[in-house]
Formats: sequence, C-alpha cells, structure tokens
Amino acid sequence: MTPLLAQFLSEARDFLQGIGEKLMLLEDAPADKDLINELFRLVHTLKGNTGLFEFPEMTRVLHAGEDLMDAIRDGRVAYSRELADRLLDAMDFVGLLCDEITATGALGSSQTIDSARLTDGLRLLIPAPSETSSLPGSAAVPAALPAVAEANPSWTMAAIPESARMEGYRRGRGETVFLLTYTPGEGCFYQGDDPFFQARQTPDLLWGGIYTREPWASLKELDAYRCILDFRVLSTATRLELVEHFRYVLDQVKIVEVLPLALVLPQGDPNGGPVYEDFVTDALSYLEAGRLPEFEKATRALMELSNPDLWLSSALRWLLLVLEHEPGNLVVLRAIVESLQTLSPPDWGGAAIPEDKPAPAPPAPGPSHLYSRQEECVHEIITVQRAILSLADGAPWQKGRIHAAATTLSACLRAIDELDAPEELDSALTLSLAANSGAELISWLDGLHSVATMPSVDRQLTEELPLPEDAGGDVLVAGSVPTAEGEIKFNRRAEDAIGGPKSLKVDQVKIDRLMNLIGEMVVSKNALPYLAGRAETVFGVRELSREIKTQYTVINRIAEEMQDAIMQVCMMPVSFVFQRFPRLVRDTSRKLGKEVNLVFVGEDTEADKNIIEALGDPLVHIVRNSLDHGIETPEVRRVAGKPVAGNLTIRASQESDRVLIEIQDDGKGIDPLAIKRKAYDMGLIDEPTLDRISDQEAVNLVFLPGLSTNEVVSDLSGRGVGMDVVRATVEKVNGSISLASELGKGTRICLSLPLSMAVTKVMIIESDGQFFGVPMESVVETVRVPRARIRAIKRSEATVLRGRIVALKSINTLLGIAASHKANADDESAVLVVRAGEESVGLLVDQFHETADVILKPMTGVLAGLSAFSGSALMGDGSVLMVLNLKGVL
Amino acid sequence: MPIEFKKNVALFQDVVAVDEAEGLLEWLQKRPGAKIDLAACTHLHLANLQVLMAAQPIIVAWPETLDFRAWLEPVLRR
Repeated sequence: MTPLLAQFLSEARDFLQGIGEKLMLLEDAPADKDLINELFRLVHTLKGNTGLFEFPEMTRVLHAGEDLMDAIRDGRVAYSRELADRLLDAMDFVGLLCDEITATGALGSSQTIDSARLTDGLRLLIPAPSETSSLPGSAAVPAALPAVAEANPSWTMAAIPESARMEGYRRGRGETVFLLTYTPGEGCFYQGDDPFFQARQTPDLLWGGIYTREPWASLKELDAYRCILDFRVLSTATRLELVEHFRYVLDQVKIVEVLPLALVLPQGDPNGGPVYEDFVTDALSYLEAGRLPEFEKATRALMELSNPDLWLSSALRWLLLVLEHEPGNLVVLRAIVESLQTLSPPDWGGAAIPEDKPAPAPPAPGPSHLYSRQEECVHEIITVQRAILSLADGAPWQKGRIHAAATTLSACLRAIDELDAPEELDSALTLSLAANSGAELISWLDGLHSVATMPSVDRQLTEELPLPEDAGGDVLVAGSVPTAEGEIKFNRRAEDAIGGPKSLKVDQVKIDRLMNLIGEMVVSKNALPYLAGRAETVFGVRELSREIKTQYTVINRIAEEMQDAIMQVCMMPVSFVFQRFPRLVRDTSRKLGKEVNLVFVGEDTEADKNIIEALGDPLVHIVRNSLDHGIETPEVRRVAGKPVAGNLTIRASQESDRVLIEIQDDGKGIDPLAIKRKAYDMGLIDEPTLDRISDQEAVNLVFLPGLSTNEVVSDLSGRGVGMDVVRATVEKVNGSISLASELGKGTRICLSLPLSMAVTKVMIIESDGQFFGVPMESVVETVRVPRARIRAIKRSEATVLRGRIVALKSINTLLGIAASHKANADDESAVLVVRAGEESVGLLVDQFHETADVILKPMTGVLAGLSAFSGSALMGDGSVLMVLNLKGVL
Repeated sequence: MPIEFKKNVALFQDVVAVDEAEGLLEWLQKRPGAKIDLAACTHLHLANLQVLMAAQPIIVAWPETLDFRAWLEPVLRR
C-alpha cells in the first residue's frame, strides 16, 4: 500500500464520519444552509480524493451522492429521511470499500453491482432537470433526459454493416451478442477520458460506430472540448467483461443483449422494385417440401446473376447464412424469402409497433422458437394493446389507434406462429372500425388469450439458444435510460479551500514510543537526587551534591513539561467516542419504534486516547441498553404522563485527574424487586442476601454476569452478556462504574476513568523497612493520630476523624508482615486514609514518603496471581516498588 | 509533434492527444479545403475526431491499422 493510499483511507474514514454526523445534524435542521454546504463540501472532497485512485465503484457512488447534495443545495430536492437513509447507506458502502481496500490493497470488481444499485438509488432522488410532465411512466420516456437520451431514436440495426451483422449472427449461435451504447458525458474530455480509446478497446469487438448526438455547430462556433459523440458497439464478450471494461463509466453505458435474428436485415439497392416473383414462388415451394438442397441451389444461382449491391443479393446472402447455421429454421427462411416480395426487411415483430404508442415491450425477435422470456414479452404486448383498445375516450384518432393495435397484434401472432389467426383478426378489425370502438377486438382477443401462454413450438432449439446471463438484463431494446451526468462545474475546486485547523497525522506507534521514552526519562531523572545524596554522604563532596541538585531541578522541569506535552498529544476529546452515537441512537430507536432525543454535554472534555478508545464499547453497550430496556415506546410514555420522546443524556466532565461520564435516561428504570428475584432464581444470590440487600444494591446486581431482565432477547441487547463485560472493561483501565435507578423515572450510569494510563502517581509508604506504593487516586489524606485516640472496638481498631468514625487496619497485618507498626517520637501513628469502595479506611503505616510518578508494569507470570499488588515500578535508585491493589488487600 | 501542419495538409502521427484539438480546430477554421493525412496515425483522441467530423476535411490517406480505419471511414468519408 502506498503512503498516499494509506493517507487517503485514513482521511476517507474521517470524511465518512463527518458526513454521517452532518446528516444527523441535518435531520434536526433540514433547512440549515451552512450544514448543507459543509456536507456537500465533504462529499465533494471525498469524491475528488477517490479520483486519485482506481476505485470507480467508490467514485461513482460518491459522485451520485455529490450530485444529490448539489440538488439539495440548489433547493431542487428537499431533505427527507429517506434521502438521509440512502446517503447513509451509500456512505456505509464506501466504508465497506475502504475496509476491503485496507485488507487487500485493491478493489475487486465484485462490488460493481452494488455500486450501480446504490448509484441508481441516489440518482433516482434527483429530479431530471427538464421534467415538466408527471405522466405516469414518463420516467421511461427518453425525452425526459435530453442530455443522454437515446440520441438517435431512429437508429436501427440496419446501420451496422452487413458483414458485422453476419459475423454477429454467426457468433450469436454459440455466444451472446451485446449491443453497447456508450454516451460519454459532455465534459468527459476535462476528466482525462478518451472515450474513443475506451470504445476501441472493447473486448471481443465485432463492430463499432460513432454517432453525433446533435447537429454540428458551424465550425466557427464549435466547442472542441464538449463531447457530443456516442458510440455503439457490437461485442461477443460476456456482460461481466463489458461491465468490467466500462466500470469507470458504467453510468454512461447501456448494455443490451441482441438476439441473433435481430441482426438478420437484408439491405441494399432496391433496383426499381420487387420483381423476383418466380424465385419467391419456387423458393417457397422448395421450403414447403423441405427440399433444401434445391432451395440452396436456386438461391446461389440467383445470387450469381445479381449485382452484389442489390437488396436482393443481401437477402440471398442472409438466406445462405441462415441455411448454413440453422437449416431447420424454415420460418426464418420463409420470412426472408417473403420479404423479397415487398423489399422491406423481414418483420421480426418490433417494426409493427406504431411510433406514437409507448413501446410496450421488446419486439418479439423471431417468428418461431419462443422461449419463455419471449412468451412473456408477447403477453406483455398483448396486455398493453388491450389497454389501448379499451380506452373509451372517443378521441379523434380512435380509428388510427385501432389500426395500430391490430397491426401490433398481427405481428405478435405471426411471431408465435398463429398464422391462420390474421383472418379472424381482420374481420374483428373491420367490425371494430365500423363501430369506432375497440370492443370487437378485445372480445376477439379474449377468445384467443390462451395464445399468449401457449407453450413453445420448438423446445429443442430453445436449448441451443444462448440463455441470457443476467435474468434481470435487457433484451434488445428494453432497459433503463442512463441517467444524466451532472453538469460539470469547474469552479468547484475553489470551494475546497476551506482552511481547517492545522494538524498533523501521526501513527499511533510513534506516539506510543515517545510515551515510553518519556516514561523512562522520568524514571532516570529521578536517579539524580540519589546521586546527589551519594555525592554528599559517600564521597563527602557537598559542593557537587548541590550542583547536581540544581541540575536536577532543571531537568525535572523540562522532563515534566515534556511529559505533559506528550500527554497532550495523546489527549482526545470524548466526542471521539460520542460521535458514533447519533447514528446508533437514530438507527436503533427507529428499529424499535421509539423516539429519543440524544443530548451531549461536555463533549470537548479530554482524556488519554487509550482511555477514550477503551470507553467506546462499554458506552455503546450502555446506550443500547438504555434504548432497548430503558426508554419506553411512545404509547407507554404517553400513558405514564411523560413526553413522547425519551431523553438520553451523555455527560462528560473532568474532575481533577479523572474523567466522569454519565449516561442518563428518563425511561422506566430498573425494578429492584424484579432484579432481586431474577438474580435469586438464577442462583446468583442466596436467600439471606435476597432479604438483606437494599434497593440500591439490588439494581447494581445487573453487573453480575449472566443476568438479563428482559424477557425477550432482541438483536440489540438482552442476552445477559453486557453489564458485567462493561464493568470488566472499565475496570481494566482503572475506572469504576456505578448505577443508580429509580423505577419509572429513569436510570443513571456513571463511569469514572483516569485521565491517562501512561504514568501513575503513587504515594510511597514505609512499613517494617519495606516500601510500598499506593495509587494516589485512592488516597484521601494522611494524618498522624495520637495512640491514645485509637480505640479498639471488639477486635478491630477505629478512630474518630473530624466527627467520623474511620476503621483502622494495619498494613502489616494485611500483608502478613510479622511486626507491629512503629509510632514516631510523639507517640503518633501514621494513618493513610484511603477510599475503598464507598467508605474510607485508615491504613496504619510506619512512615509516609514522597509521591512519585511511576510507570506501572502489571505483574506477569506467577506473580500475576497476587491480588494484593496491582503491579511494580522501577524507582530512580534502581529499586523496585510494589504498588498495592487496595481492593485486593482490604 | 503529433500533428504536422503543412500548407494545406495536416499530417497526423502516432497518437494524437486531447490537447491538439484546439489547434486543429483553429487550423481547420482558416482552411476550408484542408486535407488530412492519417497514414501514420495509430490513435486520435475523441476530441480531435470530433473536430474532424465537424469540419469534414478531405482525407487523403487513411490509417494503416485496419480496425482504426474501420471506425473512422464511416464518419469521415465524404
């Protein structure tokens, strides 16, 4: 992976995050112009960035998103929830692509289909610029999209040279032939595209043609860089290969499957008119009798006598070709022969559809051998014709309409081999015309309706015909109209130049290394005072000792500042984890049918990156729990007299060296009785506990592993894994969690976390000549208590401090040191008051020492089992300090 | 030079890139009876082709590459 790509990916994620966030905000303020502009800018920049790499799938989706945002910005589209959903889906998809690129370094073409689907979804929301009518089905009419609509509606297969069509017909026996229409955007030259090269490189190219979209402007006014050319390409590559080849411009191409018969179109000089009756009569009789060799001989003979440019010769060539490849297909041969009488191309069905009607369906391609798809087409045509006939508006063109419908029906009938039906049709038509209503034809159709579902005549050939690869694909002319490429604006770059705060992206590993180094630096600078002490006591050089101490203060100051600076680097606002909640809350509450207002307080509170990251999962869990179990459905809330929309508040604040995070909802709260019973039923607590514990303690039982109060396990929460994991995660980073709940009013969960994990402040205490560290966060105060004021209550000792009773415990007893603690000269005991859970406990120690910043290394190996110590630290003089784990000791 | 402009003939060589189109258009605007020699041309950018199609100059020599010629002939032959 190149550095550029790595940077792109990291930025892309930021952008996606930003886009998601802005969309959420927009939901509350749909008319906020600034927000829309900002959102547009984000999507636009991200799209621009993708252009640096070969990720057409990504670019395309983003491009559609950008166009949609542009439309919103211009007020052409109103912001809606559906729109937000689609945009979010699209951004999720882009995120998915980013993941794929991160994992594999590239993007496979497997996402092309999804990409196209999402792009279409987005584009559908953009109204076509010139759409004036709201006729049903007008979206399917090409005229609605002038820029890329079917440029030459009159274009037919006849425009393809005969040789190419013959080749296509030959290949079409075994392969599928596709007609690809490529309509490059008008501004494509500015994007570095060469559509001509692209078209020339089409895999398995049979033929290609270039067409103008509009008449040429005079040479003086011609804009050389506005592309107004289209391509049509005939290829035998698979649809997948074509999609792969045109993947960058997939929205500009239309791939349509061509059935071999559609290519059979004789053409040439009519030479005055049809005069080949003898041949036609002979040929038809040969065919009738199945005398193919004679038929072929007659055809060849006539061909030798004819000028190859003639229409006749072309038809004869086709006859020979069809004869060579599917000699059994008499119907096709007969149709070609018959076409000689009229010198019009054999009518394979489509031509019969009158121009002023909406083209009802793909023309039935061959007179025979219908496979199921074609049956469907015929059926569809008949249905449409029926609908046309039953229009009883008495329009002046009613007669013409009846005629047109009859012609279409007759073509359909011929396509499905109902050759004797036309007479009946004709009589029905005459009757209909006389009555000037379609009723006669409809009743005739009703009698014939079974035709449409008639089984195929010749199943054997069906199997030989290549079945379309893509069942949803287009046959011949059906299909969607490519959507308009947005107007290219060249001034957009200027909008990118919004200056953000200057920042530098640094790899986390580098920061961690810096962190470790400064940690070592802090420890080794602590060695200097010892050195000074030795200089004085061991070597007796007082002067030197003082100088070392002076130097030490300088180094100490710098080191502390440095440490602080590095800590600042690692600090992140809690909004980093909060930012995912708007989306989570929105999606979850919508899924649950609840209404929730999410409120953030103090998002800019900062804490160490590691802490913030560790906070993410527990918070998600808590928020989900609140949404799922806490906040009630709107109906329940209304009955309870609460506002319909629930409130979920996430509050962050800093309290000395701790970060406090509070998640509060105004939902139904936790029922302590239910929890107690549940815990008892599950054997998590015993009977005496059940009777004894307070409500407050009861609600805290939710932290027990395996406890879930919800009867229904949903996909969100309620599986009983959750709160215990949350607590474990929080405690792993030296945090604590507490829960308070009032039934019917709501629940509040408080997390308290250290600001930083890298350096721990400990207080050093001494007992029986050994040194121990006590984490500063649990130290309340240090006092010296006269021996006389220590009272023994039964077997434990206690004292009264400022009117409160504090239990005293000797560190020696706790750690199993066989010595009694010493008092100082005034017969006072050193008491370290520490916080243990909710209450304070006094630890009797021999002596207090200074506090120190240490790098706490957790116990490893066999020592890991010692619950009394949370870890060890290396001191400046090289000694090892054991840091007490008060929870484990007390 | 991908296009060598002589007095009344433009010789196209190798691959004619997109930025030639502007110059080509100007040149053709001044010379109504201009001639184009494509013999040595292997590919021309669509922008150039578009200019040629609009101007319909006389093509004195077609490209040697057959498939290329097959694309051009229908649209440039007068």
